[in-house]
Amino acid sequence: MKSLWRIFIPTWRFFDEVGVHPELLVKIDGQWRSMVNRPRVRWFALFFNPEFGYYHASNNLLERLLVEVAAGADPEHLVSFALVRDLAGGREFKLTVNGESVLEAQP
Amino acid sequence: MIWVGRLISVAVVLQTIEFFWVRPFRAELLAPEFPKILRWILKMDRAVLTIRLLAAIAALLFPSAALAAILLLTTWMVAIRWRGTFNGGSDFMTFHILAAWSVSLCVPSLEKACLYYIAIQLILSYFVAGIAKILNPSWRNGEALKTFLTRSGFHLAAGICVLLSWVILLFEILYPLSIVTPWPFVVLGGLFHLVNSYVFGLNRFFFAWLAGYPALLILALHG
Repeated sequence: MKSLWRIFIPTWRFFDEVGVHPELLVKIDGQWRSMVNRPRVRWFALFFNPEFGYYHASNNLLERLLVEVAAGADPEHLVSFALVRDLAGGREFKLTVNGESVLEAQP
Repeated sequence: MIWVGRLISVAVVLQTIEFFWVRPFRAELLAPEFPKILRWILKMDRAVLTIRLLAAIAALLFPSAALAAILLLTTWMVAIRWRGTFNGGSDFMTFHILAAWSVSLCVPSLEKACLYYIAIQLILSYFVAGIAKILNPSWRNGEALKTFLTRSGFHLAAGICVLLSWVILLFEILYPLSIVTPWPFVVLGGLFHLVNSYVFGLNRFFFAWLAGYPALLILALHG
């Protein structure tokens, strides 16, 4: 339900905490590959930059999943987990922070 | 208020065109978070985006209370589709400027109050961000900015990061002075968002905040 009303109450705290920066690694052909990569900045990016918007939204999703798991929730019952699994294309994935695996999931 | 309306319509046009290029979260995965009665919103994203784009183009040419209300409603529906917001602050600013603009078009006698609301949100957006940052030691010693820049692929010397951090902190914390001398803050704010657009890919912030500046200028210069 929080998703319904979130936009009504603005939060103006931007970039105040460095926080953790989770990375989504997906196993493709036996190799771990990063799935959420910073897009290239193009000359018209001020006017049209959907890749960056999606990049930020994906990172927010990973951070939210991390917070929910850290709070003790069972990942399998989380919407965030289902969305990250979808982001990983239904493949085996792991979430890492500073190179350390914090969450792993089978396809 | 006419310029606020035009600029926020431009921001909504650009945002909506971007949304057509982005794959949203799958509706069936999001559904458990929503009451059954509202789940239809999750399946309507293309229709909502089309209505939003057409309404924003129309509002740019022929602003009206009905079009502003459609933009407000569709902005809320898009936000729901992304679990509250797509890009945080830019969605908040877009929504609250649209809300104020809608009210001013519905009740013209409240126009000045709506301009105040936008100006207050604009000032708070910098001031609150600045206070939150200065309370964090890693912002005061430049480490936070260095980390954010490194994550974005930019590498600056530690001394430059400390200097830039303090420029940002002072700019944000002193932003309430914009009600007395608005132009320096509006120009610096515009540059700030341009740099953020290039470095962090936050292009949506530039247009959303740009739409709020006329409210600040009108109140600061004409009372």
